[in-house]
Amino acid sequence: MSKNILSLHNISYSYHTIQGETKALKDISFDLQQGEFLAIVGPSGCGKTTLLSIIAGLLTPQSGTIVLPHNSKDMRSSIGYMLQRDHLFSWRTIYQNAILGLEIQNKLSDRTKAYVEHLLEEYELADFSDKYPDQLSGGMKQRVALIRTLALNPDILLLDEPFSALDYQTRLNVSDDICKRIRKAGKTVILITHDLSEAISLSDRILVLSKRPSTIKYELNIELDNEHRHPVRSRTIPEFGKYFNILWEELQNESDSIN
Amino acid sequence: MNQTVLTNQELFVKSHKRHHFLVGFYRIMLFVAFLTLWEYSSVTGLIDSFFFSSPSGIISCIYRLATQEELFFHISTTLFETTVSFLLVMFVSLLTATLLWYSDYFSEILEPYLVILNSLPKSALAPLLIVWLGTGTKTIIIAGISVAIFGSIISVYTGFKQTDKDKIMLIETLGGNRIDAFVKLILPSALPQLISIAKINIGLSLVGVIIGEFLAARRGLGYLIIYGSQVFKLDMVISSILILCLIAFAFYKIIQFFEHNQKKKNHAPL
Repeated sequence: MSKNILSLHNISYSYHTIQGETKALKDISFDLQQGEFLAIVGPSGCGKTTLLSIIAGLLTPQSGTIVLPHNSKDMRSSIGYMLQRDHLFSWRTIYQNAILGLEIQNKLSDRTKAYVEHLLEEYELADFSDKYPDQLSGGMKQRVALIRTLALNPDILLLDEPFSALDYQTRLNVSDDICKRIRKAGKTVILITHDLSEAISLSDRILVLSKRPSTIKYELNIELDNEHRHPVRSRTIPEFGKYFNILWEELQNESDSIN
Repeated sequence: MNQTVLTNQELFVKSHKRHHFLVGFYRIMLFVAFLTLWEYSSVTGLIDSFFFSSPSGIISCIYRLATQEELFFHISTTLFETTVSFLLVMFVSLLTATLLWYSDYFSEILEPYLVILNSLPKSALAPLLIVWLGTGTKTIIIAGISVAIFGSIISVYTGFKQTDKDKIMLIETLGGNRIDAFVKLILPSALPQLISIAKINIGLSLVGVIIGEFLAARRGLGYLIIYGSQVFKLDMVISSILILCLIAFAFYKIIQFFEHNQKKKNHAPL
């Protein structure tokens, strides 16, 4: 039925300084299925971003393997990585920012340009194509950053707290909006977040990481129907509280054992 | 209501224009007052016009230099030497800073050398340059380069290094390598700094060229100044210095023009 699109086997990673070695990740293994929305939560500094960087191919794991079963495309182009901040370039127009990845990978063609224009249209940014980033709101800029990632047509999206730079109200709206669009596009997603409510309302499955060296401590399947997949509406149903408490307990144990 | 808004706007525009007019007016007045005082003092003998010259003396001196002593030849020599050494400084420092940025290893090794060479008083090198290279145009251009080059390399490199690390990571997440990062990110984001460095460099190149001409030239404004002081033609010295002022001002304005263009193009606040 659903196929694994990504498998991690015993991934470990350490940072080295003259003062010594810091183990960030230890024996992380999980599978990701086509179309799945996976959230990863964990105490601060537990190596969540390190994990995404390894999956994105920016860091090489010290041990373990990553398997992309459909290896039709190379790793870089099958994975899109969206960072915490939008990092739009102030000297480029919105359109020029959106095609940055295509430019870098030499994939600019009439077809890809049309796709970017289509995305801008769909994300209600077409009127802003020729504007510059400082003329856009925070939420709009985040949407442009998403289009920049989607323009390369990745199979898997890695989102590293993509909404954390936004104010709370914008954050709720933008996370709802963006995640709906990503689901509609049938992308597979790994979302890193601090926000338990965000994780519950958006994802199909949540992995709780332990403190450093991080291992997968707990795995929780989230079963919500589509109507309740909304950062505010999801709070009205009883399962939300149940899920929230489970996650809270798990994380609380982690922070207790730190102290 | 609309009427008052319009009037306030008009008032603002009016006072803005008035402000600009007054600034311009006082600038000119200051200059005129200075010239008048200078002329008056030398005519009445308050200052010795042999040492301090006078505006009328300078005008007639410039006229004489232009008609009899190939003033334009000297000016164009200095202009040419300054422009060439400025362009070479920009080119070499961009190239070197790019290499330093590209390889951390390379920059770590070279850093102390750059710092020492930059803090060295470069005019001390001039006599050595004359022995090595003779007294031609080449020596003057090298002197111009030597004054600006090391500071320029350090500033350009610092400008490159200031780029947000997360933005470099963005380029990596989009599949770019270090060259992509340089072309798409480092160079465009450092452009405003490159222009301020250019402003400094053109001034320093001019300083270097004049030092070079003092010591090793038979032409150029630096030569006119040194020659004028040796034969006590102080009119000639002061005229040459004034022309140098104008040249420096013109160079500055040319770069400012580029700066404005770039800011307009890149949508940065002016």
